[in-house]
Amino acid sequence: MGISATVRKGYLAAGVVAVLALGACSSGSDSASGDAKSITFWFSTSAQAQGYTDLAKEFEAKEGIKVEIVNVPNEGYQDKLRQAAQANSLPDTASVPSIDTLWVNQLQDLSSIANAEANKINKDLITAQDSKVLAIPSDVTAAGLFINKSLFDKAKVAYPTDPSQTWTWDEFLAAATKVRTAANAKYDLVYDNSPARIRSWIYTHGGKGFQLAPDTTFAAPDATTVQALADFAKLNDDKVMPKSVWTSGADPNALFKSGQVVAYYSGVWQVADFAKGITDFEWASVPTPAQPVHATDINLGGKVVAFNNDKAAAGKKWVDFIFQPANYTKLAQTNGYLPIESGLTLNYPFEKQAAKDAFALYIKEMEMADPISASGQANLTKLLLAGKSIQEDPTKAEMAKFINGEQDVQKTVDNIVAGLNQQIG
Amino acid sequence: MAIATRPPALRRTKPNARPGSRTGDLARKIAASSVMWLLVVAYGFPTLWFVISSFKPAGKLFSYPLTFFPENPTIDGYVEAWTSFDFARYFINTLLVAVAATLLTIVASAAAGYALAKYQSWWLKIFAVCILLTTMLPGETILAPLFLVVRNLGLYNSLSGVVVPAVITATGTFMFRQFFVTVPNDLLEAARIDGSGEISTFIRIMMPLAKPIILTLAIFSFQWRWNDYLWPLIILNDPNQFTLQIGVASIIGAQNVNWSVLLGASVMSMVPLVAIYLVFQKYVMNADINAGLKD
Repeated sequence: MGISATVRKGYLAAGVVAVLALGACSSGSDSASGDAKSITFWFSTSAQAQGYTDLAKEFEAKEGIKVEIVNVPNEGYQDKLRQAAQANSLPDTASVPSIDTLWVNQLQDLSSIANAEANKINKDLITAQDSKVLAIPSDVTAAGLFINKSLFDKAKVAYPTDPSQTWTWDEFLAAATKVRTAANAKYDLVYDNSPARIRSWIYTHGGKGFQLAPDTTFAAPDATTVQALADFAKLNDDKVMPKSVWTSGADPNALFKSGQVVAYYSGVWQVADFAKGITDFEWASVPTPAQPVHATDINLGGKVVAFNNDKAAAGKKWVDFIFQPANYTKLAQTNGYLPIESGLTLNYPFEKQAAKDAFALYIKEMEMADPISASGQANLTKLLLAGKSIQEDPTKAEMAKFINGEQDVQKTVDNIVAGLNQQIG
Repeated sequence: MAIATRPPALRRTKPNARPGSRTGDLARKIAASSVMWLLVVAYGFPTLWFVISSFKPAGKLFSYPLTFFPENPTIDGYVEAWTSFDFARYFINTLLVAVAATLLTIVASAAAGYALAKYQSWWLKIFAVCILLTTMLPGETILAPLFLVVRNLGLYNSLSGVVVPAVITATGTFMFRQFFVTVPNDLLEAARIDGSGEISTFIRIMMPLAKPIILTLAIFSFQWRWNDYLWPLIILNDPNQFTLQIGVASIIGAQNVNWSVLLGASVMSMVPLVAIYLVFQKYVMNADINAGLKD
């Protein structure tokens, strides 16, 4: 039973027609090449978009260049950039979660913007290779402590409000236990299941954490760090802290919002969420405990880069525009950013006083924070410039095993160091 | 082939399979339907809670003790989801992709499955193996080469770049192949004797017989394309071409999830799928899978 030749030809023709038809309805992306009437800016946010949209309008009015802002979901953003690099379709500018070795050599030098006197950009946090500046952070994030103010008030327990008169972790935990028993709450504290957040626990206890040795491998941490991790695991006793957060992925944000938890250690990005999403009780940002070191974990919100393509000049103009202090002030206020530039007068448009106070507190805390607070992201930048990267931080998995009693603290620390070094090979 | 041999087997066992009394029969029926109802509850309750929660204000989603019904129902989540991205446009894009991909998938799968079932040729066998091979690799592994092909075809940053790679599916092809194998060759030969051409036989006799398979694959294919995330995200650059899942995913941030908005957006993105299922399910469930003459 064969198919006749005419039938075969018929199938072929139908196939060709279908492919052509599909090809015809594909709109080309290269129609605007050459002229710089419009540029693209990719970034990722779940909430903070308005600031860029406003700036883009002003930029177009001033320079006649339209900025097309594309909000790319966080999940898959890195993959998309990698594929776009292969397709020669990278955007003109972007704010990226991290720089990829695959396209790092396609970046423009932003040193004229980063080094401009007027901008007062924090030079410790930019990504620079020799004198070439590859990326400027769009904003800074910091870890910090939140309390359920209603529970504290109900239990008539006091708490510090000024970072210079902060408490120790012991004092904080004693206060939290008092509040929990008096107010009949469930847990003292929930703590984000994150390698970045555990870093600030280590730093505030005087440890140095997991740092890079001069040969860009991770060295075994100091005894204080090991002790701090052991202390942290002990708190996971389903009274002080619920075990579920670090062992089985319970959502600490949701637990805190239930009103059953006295305090939550997370970071500045929660402020906007809490301002809208907590209506059943009063909350407040309080200073991070120091035992005895004043520290936090300073991280970067997004890294602003400009790609070296046919619209390079226009792209750089846009990045320059973003970081001019007057424009950056508006951006930081609207998007609720902790600024990368110093000397700005920021007035965040929150209705809730607690949110306004929180931002003021974070800015103060960052000024007081020990320089080690920014070392986590600095290590990642160092690795990147050496052409290496960490895909999966082993801290979460190893700490979960430790808290579950599957291994002791020394084994945990050894596994973390080995896991990190294995990835940077 | 399995389907072809089942009916006689069933027929043979039927008289012997009911030896018990009427009460034993009833007990078995009750047991069976209670299992079904249990499954309905197990699947239905979380979905129902999910839909009802989408009407809770953001501040009440996590309040303790948990409540099933919202005290002050609100549609704020829906309103915010609708305005947080160009919902209508993304919706239309997704609909275009899903409908186009589904139609093309059905045509391609039916034709390929028919050829594999009814024609004998050495290259058809190789072709069958090639189709099977596509199921042996996880999607992530072929992502990069697939991307290069689609880019070189000039389909990057266009909706057709999302549709084309999805058209050929091994699942669809083999669904049709297995079905057409059960259609007796007598039917085909009778059509040939009556002077029906090959294409005409396929379109006028075989396709109507395959209606239940067409509708089943339509539901599956539509659901696959509707829920596609990573591929559209990589292929599409222009926000005017984004699909719904990209929009929904943008609500999930690196550190925060805006739950009330996400719930609203998810419910809205679910509605078309449920609607499609409700429309087509009766065709699928009432269909007699054994078509044509019975040998």
